[in-house]
Amino acid sequence: MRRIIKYAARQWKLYLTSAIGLVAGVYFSAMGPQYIQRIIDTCIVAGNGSAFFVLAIPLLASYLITGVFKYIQEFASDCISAAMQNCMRRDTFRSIMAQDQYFFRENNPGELMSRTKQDIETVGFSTGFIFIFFVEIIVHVIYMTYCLVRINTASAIAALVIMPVIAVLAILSEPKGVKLSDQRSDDIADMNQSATESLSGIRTVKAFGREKTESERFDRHNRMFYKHSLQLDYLWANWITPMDALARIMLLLAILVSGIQVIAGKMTLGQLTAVTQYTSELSWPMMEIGWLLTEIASAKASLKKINKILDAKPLIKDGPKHLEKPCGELEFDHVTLDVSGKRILDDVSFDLKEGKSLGIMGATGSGKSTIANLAMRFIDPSSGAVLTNGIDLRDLDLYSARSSKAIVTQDIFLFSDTINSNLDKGQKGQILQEILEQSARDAAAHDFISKLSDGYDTVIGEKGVGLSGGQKQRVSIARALASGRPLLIFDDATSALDMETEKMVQKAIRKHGKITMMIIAHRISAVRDADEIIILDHGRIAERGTHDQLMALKGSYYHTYMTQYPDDAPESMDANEAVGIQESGVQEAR
Amino acid sequence: MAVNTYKQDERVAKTSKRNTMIRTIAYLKDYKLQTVLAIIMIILQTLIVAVMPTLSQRAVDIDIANGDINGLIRTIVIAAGLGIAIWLLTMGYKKILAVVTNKIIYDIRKQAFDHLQTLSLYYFDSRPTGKILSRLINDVSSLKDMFTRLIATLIPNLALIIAVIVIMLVLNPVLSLSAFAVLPLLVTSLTVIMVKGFKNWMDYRQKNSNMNAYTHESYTGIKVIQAFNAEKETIEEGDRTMQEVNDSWVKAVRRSDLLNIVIAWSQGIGYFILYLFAVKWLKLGATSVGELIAFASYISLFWQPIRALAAAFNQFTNQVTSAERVYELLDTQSILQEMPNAKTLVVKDGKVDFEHINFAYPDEPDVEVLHDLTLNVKPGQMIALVGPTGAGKTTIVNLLSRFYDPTSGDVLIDDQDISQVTLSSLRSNVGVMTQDSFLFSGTIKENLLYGKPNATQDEIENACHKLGLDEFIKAQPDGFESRVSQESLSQGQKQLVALARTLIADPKILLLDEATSAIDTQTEELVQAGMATLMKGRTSFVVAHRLSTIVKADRILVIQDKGIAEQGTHKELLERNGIYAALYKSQFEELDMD
Repeated sequence: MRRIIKYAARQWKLYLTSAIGLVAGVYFSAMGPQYIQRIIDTCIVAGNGSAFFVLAIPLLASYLITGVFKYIQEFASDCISAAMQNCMRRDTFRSIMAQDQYFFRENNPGELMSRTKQDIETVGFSTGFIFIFFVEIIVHVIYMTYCLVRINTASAIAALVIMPVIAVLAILSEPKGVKLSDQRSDDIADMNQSATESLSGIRTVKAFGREKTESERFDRHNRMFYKHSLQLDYLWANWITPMDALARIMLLLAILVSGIQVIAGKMTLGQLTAVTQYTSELSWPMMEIGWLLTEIASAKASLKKINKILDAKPLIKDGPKHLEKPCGELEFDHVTLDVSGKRILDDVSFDLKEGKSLGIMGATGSGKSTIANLAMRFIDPSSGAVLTNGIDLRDLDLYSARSSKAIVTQDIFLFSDTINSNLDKGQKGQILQEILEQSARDAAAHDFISKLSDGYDTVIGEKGVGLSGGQKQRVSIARALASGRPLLIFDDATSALDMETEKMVQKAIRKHGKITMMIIAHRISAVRDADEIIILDHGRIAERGTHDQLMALKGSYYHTYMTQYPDDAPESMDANEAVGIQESGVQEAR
Repeated sequence: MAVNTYKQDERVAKTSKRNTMIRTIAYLKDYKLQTVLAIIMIILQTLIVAVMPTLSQRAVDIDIANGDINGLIRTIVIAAGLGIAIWLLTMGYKKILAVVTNKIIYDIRKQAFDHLQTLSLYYFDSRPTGKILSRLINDVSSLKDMFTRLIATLIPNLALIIAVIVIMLVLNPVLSLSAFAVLPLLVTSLTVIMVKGFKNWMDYRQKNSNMNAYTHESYTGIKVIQAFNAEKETIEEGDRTMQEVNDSWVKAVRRSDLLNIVIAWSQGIGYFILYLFAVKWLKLGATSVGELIAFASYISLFWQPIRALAAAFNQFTNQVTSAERVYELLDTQSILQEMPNAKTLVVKDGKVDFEHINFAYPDEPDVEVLHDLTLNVKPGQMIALVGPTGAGKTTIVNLLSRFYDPTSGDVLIDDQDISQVTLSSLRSNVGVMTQDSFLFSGTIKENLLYGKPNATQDEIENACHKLGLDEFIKAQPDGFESRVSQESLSQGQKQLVALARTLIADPKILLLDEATSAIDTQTEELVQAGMATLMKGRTSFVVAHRLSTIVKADRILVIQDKGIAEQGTHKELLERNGIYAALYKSQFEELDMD
């Protein structure tokens, strides 16, 4: 709630405008019945027709002015809704962008979308339009009550006894509404997520012909949404319709009590008319309360969810120090990482000096990518430290911690945007076109990019659909190169490239000389030239050394080498012999 | 392929609003009884509401004028009874409508989702997931309000207007004129506001959809954004799309809020004319006060539905655009159609033939990806596809699995044209694995069973054992029942699980598109052994970069320049000393550098 007030405070001008429109609108609309009363008493009951225009013109004017102020009130309140939404949405988006990987594991994109779209919309609408409307009703009711009391206290009391009853109904039903609205907005998030998954995995769904399964999966959430929506509609039907009926009875009570007084000679007919007019002005807000209630209830439920995001504190956050100059040096100092009781990395140490390269190999699931994640500070070690330039990454602000490293990951993500905008990610418009193109050339991507319909301005799809796996990988390598960062981390980045391209890319990168590299790979060809190669086994460094040292060790590296180059014999062997051996190897395998 | 992004508004086919409405109303057909019942209750309720003021008139002009307190009480009690009737009727129809509208929405959403599943990959490849979601979730939800409005607002308010007009005319034709006098002004101004407003609301929807697409992409690509310190520019771009939503909304309401002015003015003018006529024309006296009160009530009763209709119409224009977007989705024809009398594909041997295939993406028909490709594969053969990135290897895989249809030419399996058989029989015989192996959030077992839900535990364990996956599964906290998702496993682990999934599905023809690219060599060695048994007796197509995989193929195809540039066994191709040989040697240069 305090948060909403803070947001609202920023829109004080709009609130003020709306409030002025509101008060003036109520004031002028209340003038109407007064003139009507006088017209009836003077012109009709007393038969003084000549006084008509003196009274009727102000009557007309009061409605015309009311219209203008109503417009001001409503337009301003709609602007508040929009502005509140906009501010909250921006902040929520910012907050999400600053979250760490743990957060994203728990909050899937579908759910987050639901929050940034529907939930914020609901809250925005309630803080703007609904809130102002609520205030209008209160002001209106108070003022109309005052007018009513002024005419005749007894009639006023008759009308007003009903109001507390309506209020009680409202207060009783609200918590139930909040609860169901809460469930319903969760259902929307679930539907969003379920659909996101089915649509992202559509290729797999189709490949196995499992469209039905996906439909059933979605159907479960759709059904829950149906159930809760229906319950909510029933709830409101049960609670709101009596409020509506009570508002009508209010008017009848007023006529009854006033009528008795007119008969007793204590009231004029004109006053009776005014009483009915005022009472009906009191009854319509009562009929709207139900609707307000539904909106407020769902806004409350939504706000709770948004608050959860805005209050989420990332575990990975800025440290105090800032790195002035990017630095390619990276050191792992006895790094151990446990995730939910499982040891992922165990006492890993290495020192990657500037301009050097480190190769990392190991079985699937041995912790290779975890090293990349630690280096990027997507996660923090359980013990030990990751250092750059001698400074613990945790002591650096995130910008510095990451700005020295460019990572190419195994699951490539490209944005649905132009190739250029994908390449200069993080430095929008700040990288010269020549550098972008040179990077693309180095990544062996230039040729195919130039052949695209709009070259570097070609829009590529979400997840880079429209490009083949290898092309996506090249673009993502080019992106890393274009960033000009001194340390390149290749997390199994060249697996989708053919050998020839991989070699070309490696050569081009080596040309840069100064670049520090960490290469996580499965192919010997990718790491063999590294200054040091680490073989990971269940999170521990099992072997380390240069290619030659590891070959001499005849351990797991040697074994991998022999598998990948089954025909490797003495280095002096010429190509023809190699083919011969290769073939025999193939025959054996069959 | 042209791809829509969050920056562009999607084109929505222009349909007439009337058709959209008719189509929407048609959904009620299945709920005839409920709808009729609800409408009857609504009309009854409306009539009672319309009659209520005559009771107040009676109370004032007859009971009060005659000083008849008992009569007054009687009148009021009758009115109160009617008030309770209104309550019960309203509650009744609201509940009926709740059932009907929620059920229809459930059905439409289900229909939309099921329909999405039938669309070809082209549909998904050419637009962001966020935009599809926007239609499925937001736009369908808007439809519900549309229904509720159609029935619960349109019908009672129209009925109310008619009832009020009739009663007013019966009571006093001259005074009725005061209410009708403003109608021309009102109708013209409303029309202007509405018609112009329609475009604004459409625009607002589009901007929302763009924002949805952008946030969706930012959330899925968060790792890249953070890795490149691109938070700031992402936020700026996000701010921009959000600002556009804001601006388009303000623009839309600036116009539609004008309704308030129009209504208040019409009301004021109406009252003015009412009393003008009463005083100057009819020269009414004290005995008619009750009638005047009733008339004033009727004038506000007359305005109330107009106001409600105007406000509803406002929302309505907004919702019609949503409905259009939903219907457009429902009407999108898959570019891949199953033949009406499609046969079941029967695969005995697994012979595969590509006959004179040309292929281009549907939106770029001039850019041929494959040209006149003919390929005949004997049963049980393993075909390796090599060639530069983007040459069309994946396209061949896509054509055989019928993710796309060729522009011309036929693909045959055991002499059956695959465009003539059912998709389900085709896909159960042709197993496809791509490099981005997608796992669904659920248990490992659920994922393994994805291709063959009725596989036995033995089959599962057997497949996992062959791929050496059992060790990995044992290491998981709950074994086969451990929950996994896209994010929780490494690429290599996902590929392994996906491989096992395909192995369990047991297809006759295997298409492996970089299926093992992220698996390490030692694991792959294990996998290879499993694969060898897997491929035995099956026709297979393998796109791979690993030499060890390629050399095992019965035939290697070099795909380049829209077709097959070279083909033959490893040995033949080396002897030929062409593209393949060059490719192969480049690998050995590595060795030479030692």
